[in-house]
Amino acid sequence: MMQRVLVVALTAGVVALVALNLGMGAVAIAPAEVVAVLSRRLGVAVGADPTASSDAVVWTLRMPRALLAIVVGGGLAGIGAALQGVFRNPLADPQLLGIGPGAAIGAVLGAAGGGVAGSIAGGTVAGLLVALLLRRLARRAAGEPARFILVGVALGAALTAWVGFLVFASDRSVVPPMEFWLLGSLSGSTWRLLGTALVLVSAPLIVVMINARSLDLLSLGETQARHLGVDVDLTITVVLMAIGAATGATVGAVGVVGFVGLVVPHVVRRFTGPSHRFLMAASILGGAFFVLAADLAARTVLAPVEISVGLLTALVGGPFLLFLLRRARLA
Amino acid sequence: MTLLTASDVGYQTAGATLLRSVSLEVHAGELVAVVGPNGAGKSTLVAVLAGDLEPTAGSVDLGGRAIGDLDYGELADRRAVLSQRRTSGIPFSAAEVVAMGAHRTGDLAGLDDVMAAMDIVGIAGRAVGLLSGGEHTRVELARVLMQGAPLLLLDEPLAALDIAHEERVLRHLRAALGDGCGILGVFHDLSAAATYADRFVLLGGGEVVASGEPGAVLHAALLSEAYGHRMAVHRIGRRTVVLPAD
Repeated sequence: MMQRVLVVALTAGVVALVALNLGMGAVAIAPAEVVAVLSRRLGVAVGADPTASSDAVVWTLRMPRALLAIVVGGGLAGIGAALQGVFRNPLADPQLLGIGPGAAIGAVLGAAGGGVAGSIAGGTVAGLLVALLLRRLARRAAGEPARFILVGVALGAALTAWVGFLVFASDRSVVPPMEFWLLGSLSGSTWRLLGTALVLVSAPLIVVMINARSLDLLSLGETQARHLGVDVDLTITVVLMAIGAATGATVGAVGVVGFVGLVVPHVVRRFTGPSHRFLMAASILGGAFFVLAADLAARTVLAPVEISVGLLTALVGGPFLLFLLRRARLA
Repeated sequence: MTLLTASDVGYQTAGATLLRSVSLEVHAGELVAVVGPNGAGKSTLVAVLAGDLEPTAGSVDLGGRAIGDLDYGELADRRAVLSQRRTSGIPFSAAEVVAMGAHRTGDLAGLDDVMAAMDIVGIAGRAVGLLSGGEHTRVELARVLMQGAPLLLLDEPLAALDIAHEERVLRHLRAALGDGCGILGVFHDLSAAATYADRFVLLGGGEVVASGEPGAVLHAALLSEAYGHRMAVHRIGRRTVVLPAD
């Protein structure tokens, strides 16, 4: 019951935010004009003909951007929920643990060699590799959640430095600036970028979803899950590779947008309970909502100046992490 | 029917021999109690028999097949394991965790009975991470029973249980033997084991010191030697009670 209410509420919220994202921005476009553009693009003409500039703003700029926000937000939140399950650590987050920064190295190299497509490809591969590296590091810090996070933060800091070196050494006309990699931006959204990101984020997420039940069993402990017939090492390796690839694809597309994978699953879990199938599904919706809202704010708060979307997610996520750490110490 | 055969099993880690030449069998319909002092190798033995650790010598057969040839799924179909160590912070409810026992079979028909037998119906909806030690043990036992495997390997199934729940669990395990189960359990309470076990295996220093029917193993001299403390074996009614001697 509670789960159904949550899904309906989040879906409605996502639809509403998409509508707001289409209408609001540096140029305000009236709801009737938005409907006119969308209806014509979908093959049915409703209302008066829209202007060419409205069509360009709504359909070419804002629509792919809103949908990319859904892919990135949903992806990162779903990844966060899975990552917390794999490591049995409530503080796990793909960016906080260094997967995002590591993926950015590959994305920068890819961007230098092959533009946007290279950036996504490089990010995907590098994210996958860093996720496997993290697995090796995690074994030594098992059972100490805070220490494990510190390992990830240290890894992230070192990898971020390399991102910086590579960005400064690259051709500025091809490789996006440092703030893109550190804080993310959806301003480069195109239909083409959306399509690539959608495939490269959702395919790994489906792999993780298939393993959702194994993640549930993993919460009993690795030994216990093994006793129940789960090939624990294979499951963890497959899920982590998928997590790394999906994280890397988002980083290659929009840079490192932090805290989505930490904040959203925690909020959603209160309604869904611990079962990963529901948790991930609801987190995907919640993440889409969160990043749509953050990007709307990024485009409108200081309009016409646009601010990095990661600044807004961090504005919420930073204090939230402090809250979690405080509660973890009390527990 | 022989469910488990261990032949000359040895286990060594860097510098230490934890098991040496251990041979034992578990047949359908019998409860074998593994006893011995701390550090005797009991948990290591269970881990080897469960397939968690690969023996460095000898062999283990489960239902006629070498344990090393079985994948995790085949192992789960043949044996269920209660580990001594409890995982903390399990977010799922007791009922959800017990149902996870049937992960392979999907057969939840016995869920209510098993939960009633382990007396956890009243805490079915509570998160396992918030339960007391004894409650957690009973939930894990119920999960192990739900697995439906013929062989149960139970490392300290009575850990943290009060005396009434000890009796309840042991009686239920005896009843399960009638369905063709075989059980190997590690026990510290020698008196409880004496009442319910068919055979004893007394471990000391990683070796089998004595094995056989309770009457053959529960000797004051033997136990005193194994535990390094003077012990006395009493008969009270139909129960054998092992106590430290004055």
